[in-house]
Amino acid sequence: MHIRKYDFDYSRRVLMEKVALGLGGGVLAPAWSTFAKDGEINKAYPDELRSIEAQTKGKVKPGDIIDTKNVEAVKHLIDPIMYQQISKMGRRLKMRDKVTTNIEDMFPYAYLQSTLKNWGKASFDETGNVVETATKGPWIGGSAFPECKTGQECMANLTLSWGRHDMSQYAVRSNDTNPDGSQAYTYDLYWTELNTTSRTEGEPVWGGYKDRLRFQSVFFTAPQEQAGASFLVPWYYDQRKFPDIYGYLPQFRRIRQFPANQRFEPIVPGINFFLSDAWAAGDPLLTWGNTKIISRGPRLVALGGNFRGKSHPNWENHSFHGGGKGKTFIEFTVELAPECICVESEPTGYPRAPVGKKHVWVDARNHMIVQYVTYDRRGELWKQVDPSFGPQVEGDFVNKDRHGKPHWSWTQVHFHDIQANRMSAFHHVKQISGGYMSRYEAPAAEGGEKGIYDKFLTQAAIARLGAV
Amino acid sequence: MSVRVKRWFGATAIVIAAATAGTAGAQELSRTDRKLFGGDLSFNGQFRIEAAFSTSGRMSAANQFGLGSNNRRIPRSAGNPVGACDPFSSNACEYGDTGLLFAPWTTTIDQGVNPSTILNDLLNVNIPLSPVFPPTRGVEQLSPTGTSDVFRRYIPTRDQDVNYHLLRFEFQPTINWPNGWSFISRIRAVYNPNDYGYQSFSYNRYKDINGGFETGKTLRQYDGKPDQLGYEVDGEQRPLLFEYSNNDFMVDLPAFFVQWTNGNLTARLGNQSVAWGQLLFFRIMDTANGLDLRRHLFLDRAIEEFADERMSAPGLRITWQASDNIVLDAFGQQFIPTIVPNSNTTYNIVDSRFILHDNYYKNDNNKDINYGFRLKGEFGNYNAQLMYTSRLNQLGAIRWRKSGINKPLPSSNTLGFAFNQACPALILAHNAQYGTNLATDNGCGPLLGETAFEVAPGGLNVAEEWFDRASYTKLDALEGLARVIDEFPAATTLLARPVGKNSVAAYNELNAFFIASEGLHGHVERSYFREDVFGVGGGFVTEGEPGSLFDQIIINVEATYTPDRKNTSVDLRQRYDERDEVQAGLVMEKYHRFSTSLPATYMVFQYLWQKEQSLEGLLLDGYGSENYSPGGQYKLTKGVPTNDDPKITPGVNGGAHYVVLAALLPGPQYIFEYSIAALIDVQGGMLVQPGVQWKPRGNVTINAFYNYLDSDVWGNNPNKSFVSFIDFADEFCLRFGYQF
Repeated sequence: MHIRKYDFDYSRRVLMEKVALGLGGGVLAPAWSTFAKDGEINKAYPDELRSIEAQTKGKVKPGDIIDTKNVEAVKHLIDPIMYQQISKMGRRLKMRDKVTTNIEDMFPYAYLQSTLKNWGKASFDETGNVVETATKGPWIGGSAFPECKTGQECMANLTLSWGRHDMSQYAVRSNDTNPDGSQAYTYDLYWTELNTTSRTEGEPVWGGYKDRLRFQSVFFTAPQEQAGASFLVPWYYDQRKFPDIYGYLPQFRRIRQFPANQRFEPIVPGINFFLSDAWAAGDPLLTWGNTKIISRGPRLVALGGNFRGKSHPNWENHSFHGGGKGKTFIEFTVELAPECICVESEPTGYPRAPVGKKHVWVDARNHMIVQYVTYDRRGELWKQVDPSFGPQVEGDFVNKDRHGKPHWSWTQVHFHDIQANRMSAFHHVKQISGGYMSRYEAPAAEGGEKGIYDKFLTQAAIARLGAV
Repeated sequence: MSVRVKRWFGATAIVIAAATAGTAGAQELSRTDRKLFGGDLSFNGQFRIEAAFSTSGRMSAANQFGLGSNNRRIPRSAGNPVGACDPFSSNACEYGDTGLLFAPWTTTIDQGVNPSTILNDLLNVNIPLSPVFPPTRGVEQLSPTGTSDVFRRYIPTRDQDVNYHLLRFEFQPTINWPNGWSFISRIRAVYNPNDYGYQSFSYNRYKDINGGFETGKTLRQYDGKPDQLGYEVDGEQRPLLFEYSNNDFMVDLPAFFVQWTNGNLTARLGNQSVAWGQLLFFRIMDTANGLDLRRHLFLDRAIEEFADERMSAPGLRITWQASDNIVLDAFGQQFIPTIVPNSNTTYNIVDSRFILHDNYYKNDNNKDINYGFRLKGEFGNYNAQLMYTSRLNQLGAIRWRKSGINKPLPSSNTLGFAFNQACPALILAHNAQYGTNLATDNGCGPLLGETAFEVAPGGLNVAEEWFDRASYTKLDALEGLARVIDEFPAATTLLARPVGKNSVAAYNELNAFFIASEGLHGHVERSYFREDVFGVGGGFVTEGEPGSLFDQIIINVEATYTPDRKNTSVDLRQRYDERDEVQAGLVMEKYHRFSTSLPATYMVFQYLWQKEQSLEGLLLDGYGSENYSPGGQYKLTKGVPTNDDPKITPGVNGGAHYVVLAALLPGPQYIFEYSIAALIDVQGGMLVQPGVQWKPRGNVTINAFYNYLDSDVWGNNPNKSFVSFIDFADEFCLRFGYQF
């Protein structure tokens, strides 16, 4: 039996003060230092922030399904679009039986080690870019600001290392649904990102690209009309600069340059994903402005239990439900996170962006996006990006990294345009057509990261991967 | 709307409905674990139905059913090979066999004079007088001696409802092995569902006239109905290794190669295409491959550029990413020419009275290799390109050639009879003069076989047609006539003479031979020549106030220099025209959001300047001709000035200038895409294409677009613009695609 030491509003008051004073997370103790010291979260937060029953006055318990019947009880724990999805569109969530408390279940292993090792070594330079304070050089890996005291610090964590691996390749299947809920599009795409700086392992600067943050590409392998469409986006380290965008379009059979500010468009027809949406930090940090923390508080997060490595040979989560045809949403397993930080930011570098502002919720424990919603220029809710994360473990199936630890990554993500009611649901799958497999370490047999770069991240590469 | 068009719409709608209904099931996620030969096998493909419905009803002026002379009553009077001599005229006087000074063809044969008499006097022979013959097909108001009549072309003008229809299947299997090897292929099969909706001309319907069309017995596209999809060259019915095609179907492999990747090096071996350059549609650096214009010419959706037209060729391509910024691309491929639409097919641009012999195979050009390299560097907002290609120009160059058809003039008219009677003597003289061994047993046939002409139905029948067809084809009617005479001795033996700039004499001369032949077809040949193309380009992206119209404009310029390019001379002379060609182009691209509720609108401006050639590769010297007809009475092409003193090949000074303006406005999520594209020839031609693409589902794409063409936008002579070749093709195009 729990004895509540603090009244119900105690945590809310403390967290509001921290927002006002620009302090780091944690209620009973500074969050990050507690995690770092103890390896788990309990000492930083009181029971009321760790118990779904306490947050819902007993109306929702672990193992319950959250749907129209009890969504009001969790309304304060979810984003406004998710509330509409559950209350009006038949979406459901499953409360996880257990809650993630071990910090190692919240990060890729190597990234966590870097974060711990490099804690306190980051600062913003006079240009607003993140640097290693001692050297004024580019960031050296892990979350630069694990305490997340400001909105800019939270967004810097997301921006500098998207997938939290030095190299990630995501085989993605996108199910896109029409406003009536019927299935509209199915795309296979392959997303590659290779950090040249802000790296967690090996050389702090890869390939000598000190002035770069990453190389990133995406190409489509199906269906026929889009197969071979590919885009290459090399990022500068200087977050004031727009990344270049090169595209190989099937009909032209050649590479063309795209405007660098072309970041708010569907990359192929019918898809709700924009380059700007990647990791809620798809644009250079300093091209957005007025970034600030507007709230801290508990939240439902999909942090484990969503990986389907055992139950589906291709890791696909087929728990489709809701929407007009019962195919719009993937059932997420969620749990209560004691403290999530809501950051508001505006696309000040994109005067013609359709987005007016975005709200990004970040888990104070692992600094990763929990949800992300955008508002249009009129201030109306527009789009939700709703991911699930977790270690790649399901039952006795474990997909291990080179350290013998489970790989940790995103598992599925909803991109929901609530105004048009179009959904793109991405599955992070094992493999897509063409034999392209998800992986987070560059195989030595393929030349390591240089091999990945040559094969996926150059202009010659995207031309080669393009349509013939 | 005609019944045929309604049926087409109906059939299309049924297919759309059926395929859309079946879409949901096909949307199931496909398997990813297919293996073949130890590699990962993947494939996708599409079915597509494509159609273009004519809104003008007109047919190509190059086709039999589209000729301006069809059904027109046009008077003809045979010229007199013995004309009055005026030493002060431009028409040269010469001595005849009788020793008399005369100026040939300046007058017509007087009424009542039997043509045999003229030949007897002129040639010092003794052939019998021509009897009186009844009028042959198309001839009216025949004069008693048969040297003057009114000719009404017996092939009708027809309206065509459907310009184009095609069923397309494409399948793209790929195998990737983990060791860097891949096999990549694309199979394209298209089927032309009969000639439904087409107005298909067939020479076979006229084989009762003078023994029919001899060329049709050897070249498929001139035999019976038009050859919609076949590609045949002289000496080889199927010259392409990776294509099997026939009249109504075509199966080819636009991609069929193995790929090897090792680090920053990629090599591709097999059938493939290479696209270079930043300009779209304007092919400045895009020199590696020709175009296949058989299907829908280049009138597909403009934003797709030459996706379905760019040819492939077997060869090796090596791409080396030399550094983060620099890519070196090199290729060596079998030479394959640009394929033009076959005679009498909808988009044919070569007048069907001229037989185009393709020497690709005969000259062993199929064993020639085109090769080149391109160096491209990207440096943030700047880029630069250098390229070089050594190639046989895929367009080739055209000149007169001997017909090789030993077929006499028809002896069913007085002139033909008289010539056939005189020809044995002429042939003997010819043999003696030129050391030939032509037989004397077939009238003028042996001599005609040594000229560029063939007697056959559906040919050129009135002199106005000659002027009209020459100007349409951007050739010189008078010099072209001169070269087909003075470079073919047999023509001179047949009393043909160059007449310089004397349109009247040319008119008389032509009518004499047209009356005698009851229709002539010309023979030309297309050959290919090596050339070096040197190119340079550069570009940058503007930086303006963020979000402004002047921010992020992508600007590229590129230019090529081709020394000593061999061209089709405006007179089709045997020695090809040769001169340096320069092409320069500018492209400016801008994505701009006019509304935050819609994705950015893509806008492009392009400009192309070509020093010597027009867009389709003909010399600008041949542009802008007017037509001759006495008193300007018979205008065969609307808008082309026709008079007694026509300007022949005034040409276009200062090079050719073309402009493209295009915009693509997507709707939310790109479900709908609205586009508009305009290609403007500043000499007065315009192609405007508004269109919409609708993707109701991921695997269904519907395109509707309209091609509006006008060759005299400023009220100019249409012959000043290349659009005059295709300005008949106002059409509504519909495509329904289903992909898997």
